[in-house]
Amino acid sequence: MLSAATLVVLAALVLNANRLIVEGEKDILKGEAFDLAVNHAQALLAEIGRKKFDAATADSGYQAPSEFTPAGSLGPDGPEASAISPWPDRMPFRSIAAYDDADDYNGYERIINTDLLNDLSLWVEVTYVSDTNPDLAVSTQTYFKRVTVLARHPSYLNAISFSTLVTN
Amino acid sequence: MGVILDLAASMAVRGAIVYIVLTMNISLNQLLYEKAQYAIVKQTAATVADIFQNDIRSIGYNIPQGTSSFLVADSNRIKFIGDLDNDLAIDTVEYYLGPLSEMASTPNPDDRILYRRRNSSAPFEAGHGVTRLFMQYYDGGGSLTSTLADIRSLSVKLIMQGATQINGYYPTTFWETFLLPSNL
Repeated sequence: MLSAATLVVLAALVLNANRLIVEGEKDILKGEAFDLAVNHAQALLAEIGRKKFDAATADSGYQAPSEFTPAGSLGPDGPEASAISPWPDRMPFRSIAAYDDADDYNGYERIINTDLLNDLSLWVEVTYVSDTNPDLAVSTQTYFKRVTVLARHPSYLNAISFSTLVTN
Repeated sequence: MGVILDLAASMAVRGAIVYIVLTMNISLNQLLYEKAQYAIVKQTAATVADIFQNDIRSIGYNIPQGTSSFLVADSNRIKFIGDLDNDLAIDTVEYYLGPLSEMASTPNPDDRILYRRRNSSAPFEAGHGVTRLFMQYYDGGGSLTSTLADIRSLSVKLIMQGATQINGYYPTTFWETFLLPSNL
């Protein structure tokens, strides 16, 4: 009886050890997915940061915020949107040539496929933020836009976000 | 007869218990070793990535207008110019993989040394255990290009492995990114 009980306990221990091994492999993939997300989100933010602040940005002179794209219209116009085909964007990224200002990326989605992981998705949101509080999204035009990149993987990465401010 | 059977059964159970405990102990030790080796490979890859990204950031910085920033842009070799120290002196930086024979002493048949050479100095061993370095170059429109003057961005894939096998495979880590140097 005692031996049988010991065997049961040991079997439970072995199962637990096996679970630990399997979870360990999954943790490694989660770490790789996180690194991949960081690298590609940074690259995407750098790409967006190199674009004009707004389609209406002038080369010189004062511009009132009201001249910029209304908050409700942030996103690509027709030709820009149709330039990215198929959707979502994949390497080589069409957004580099198709989009010419930061808010074109509002609603943009990019899929990253690598040797290790497929279907890492990056999704972008662009909003105007308050001139005095860059964490506060506003519905009117200002001199600041917050660009947020949301990265996620269906199996190995819960959604994480990266963001930066762009200004005119 | 009954006593002998009892003893035999008892011995069999004890044997099973010892076997299970030993197997479990070996598996957990292997897991620990695997994790440690993976951490070492990962750390090496992170260091290589830091050095590489830092250099890439300076591509084309402070060079005369009209000069191509890239001298070589192969899939596993890159050579470029830029002012790394912001001292108005143009530096040349090159990354390339050494031959397989250099790491012939390790059990891993695919590992190599990634070299970084700055100007005319001796090559620096940026990382051991690189099994793959693959770069692709893109023009301003985001299309693949092999014309040095047209390169505006690049994708980098670096795969590093440990020197020894664990449970039938080498601890492997990946570093993949897409870079848009701001001075191109």
